[in-house]
Amino acid sequence: MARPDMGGPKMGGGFGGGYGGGFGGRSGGRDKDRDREREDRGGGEEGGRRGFGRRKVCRFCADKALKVDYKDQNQMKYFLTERGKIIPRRISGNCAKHQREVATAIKRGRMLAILPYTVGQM
Amino acid sequence: MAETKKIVREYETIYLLKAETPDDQVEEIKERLRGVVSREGGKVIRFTNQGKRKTAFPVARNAKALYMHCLYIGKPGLVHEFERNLKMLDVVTKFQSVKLSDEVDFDARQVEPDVKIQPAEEEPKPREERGEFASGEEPFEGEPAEGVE
Repeated sequence: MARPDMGGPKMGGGFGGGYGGGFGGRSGGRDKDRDREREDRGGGEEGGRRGFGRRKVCRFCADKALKVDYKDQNQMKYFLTERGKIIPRRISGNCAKHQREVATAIKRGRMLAILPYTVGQM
Repeated sequence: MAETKKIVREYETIYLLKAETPDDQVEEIKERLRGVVSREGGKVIRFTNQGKRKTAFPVARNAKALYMHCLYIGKPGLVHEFERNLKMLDVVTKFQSVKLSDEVDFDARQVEPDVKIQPAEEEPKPREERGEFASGEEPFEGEPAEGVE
């Protein structure tokens, strides 16, 4: 499905298998995202391994009224994985400033038992 | 303007009480903390009772806790005194203070009434039980259809 767009011959051997299997689990996809993001940053749209690098926008920059609030459980959950880890900037698309604020907010929320430190390890 | 503004800081403290704390004790703690703040020359803006909520992990061997939020202004030493009082109370299981603002005009900041928020997700009740209680207030999600028939 996506193979013709990917420019198969250009791809490095190591990653070929990874991109081809686009039906893998979500957690697997995150690691692949990392490589893709790096390529995007370096060489614009054409030069990357994959043409359609979706540029993510920091949701806090896009909406100035939105504030990072450690008390808001639903908002903070968006930045946590199912296991309770903080989602990195390259995935969430936050800018550096707001990612720092989010990270601080999550850590505050954890101290108050609003957010989990870890999920599923009893 | 010759008069000097009294510049203070704004803080918020969230403290967790044991879920089974009776209401009058919650009020008692509130009044005690209000006394602490005013004794230290500060002002409580408002208390918010956020209700019993499920915690992300067991706190004091309990899966639920009563969340209280207090917003107040005062001098830096106030927080220490505030937290010292929280430590003395056995029903308080956790607390955390955060500075919200460095410069607040003491007189301009108005005191707000206390708020009590009912948590959105109550204990999940069986559907038919919920329908009986909430049919008048929430006429959507197809539940009134059962009531009509």
